[in-house]
Amino acid sequence: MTEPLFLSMAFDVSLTDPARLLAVLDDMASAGLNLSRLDDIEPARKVYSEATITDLLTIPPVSKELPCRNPLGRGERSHIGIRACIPREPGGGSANIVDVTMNRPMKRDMSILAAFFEGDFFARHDAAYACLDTWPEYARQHVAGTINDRLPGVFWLNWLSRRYVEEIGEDVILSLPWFRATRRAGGLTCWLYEDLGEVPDDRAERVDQFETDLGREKFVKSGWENLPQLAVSTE
Amino acid sequence: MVQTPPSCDSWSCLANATGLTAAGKCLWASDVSDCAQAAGQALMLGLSAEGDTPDPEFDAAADEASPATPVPSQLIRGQKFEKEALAELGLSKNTNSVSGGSIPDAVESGEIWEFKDVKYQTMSTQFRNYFATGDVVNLVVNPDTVVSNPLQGAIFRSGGEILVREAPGVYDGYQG
Repeated sequence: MTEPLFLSMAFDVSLTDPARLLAVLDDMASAGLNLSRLDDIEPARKVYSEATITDLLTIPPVSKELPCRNPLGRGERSHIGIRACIPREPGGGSANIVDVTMNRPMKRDMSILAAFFEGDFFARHDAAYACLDTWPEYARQHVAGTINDRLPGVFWLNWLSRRYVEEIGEDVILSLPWFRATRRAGGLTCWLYEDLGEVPDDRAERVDQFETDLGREKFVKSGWENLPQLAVSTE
Repeated sequence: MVQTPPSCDSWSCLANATGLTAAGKCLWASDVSDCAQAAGQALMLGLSAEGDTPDPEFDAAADEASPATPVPSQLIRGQKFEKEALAELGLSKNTNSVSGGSIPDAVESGEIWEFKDVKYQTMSTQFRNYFATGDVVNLVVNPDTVVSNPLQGAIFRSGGEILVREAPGVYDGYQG
């Protein structure tokens, strides 16, 4: 496979707490996504460590004026992008996201990333939404807006936590012609087709049809009134 | 390794505390339009400001056309690109800085817009400062600009988009 793989995870908790972000990254390292460098500008030069994470998240301190941190991690062939924000009002552009780009992926890498959807990682870390596909396909479907403005799209692998499942309706989701859909702790994992390495010719048409069946307004910025709002202030 | 005092509540404070020179502070914490003189010196020395990589072919042609100008050609070109794109997108020039000292080219409905007429754009201190605001960050580039993958990802995570100015008034999504 020549195209980079892209895994994106949106969390229903704030990742500005160094201990929480460290727990997420440690679990990802255990799964095979080790980081060697971490920084908030390119090139990432700081050596990855607990102290580096703490510094990047706390100096200067997160505040209402500076609510987000955006560290970039670098591993052997993987890049990890992080957006960690304290809770803000809905629509403020904030979100708590961790994504992984895997360059020159091998079959083993696909398995590493897909394994996040089959274990309890999402449930343990309050990941409310996740998707896995190639970077070009993710970029093709990209529509402006945060996870609190719209659903990002329909991808090879899709994780919808209970909050999304309840709003959309489990029966609606499961009635779609997924290759496979399984219930996991805290949500549903849905495969659009069998093998990411063997993209069906009609992928774009399938994506289009699934978006229509789920409700096209859900994939448009501010189009879905009941879109779950992740990690936002309730004040 | 630079030691950073925990008492600082902004990146400008860090720049001062770490004893950077005027030009260094400019490169570290601000953008080209904030400190044209210092950035200009850096560009004339062959350095780039905040991750921008100027286009040498354009620079050579512009320098030939106006050899006496004290302003680097990249600045002139960047300002022209910004001015035209702002007008085409119906945005107004912003003059207020965000924490860290960087000044977004435009701020509209709580979203930051930055215009870059460069060869290559990375996640620079300027963009780091923008993303820290928590606001959506959008980037407008020319058709030849390469946007680094980490910056593309950071823009998408913020909820923003990257537009390519294919021709005057013609914009398309960045395809990498």
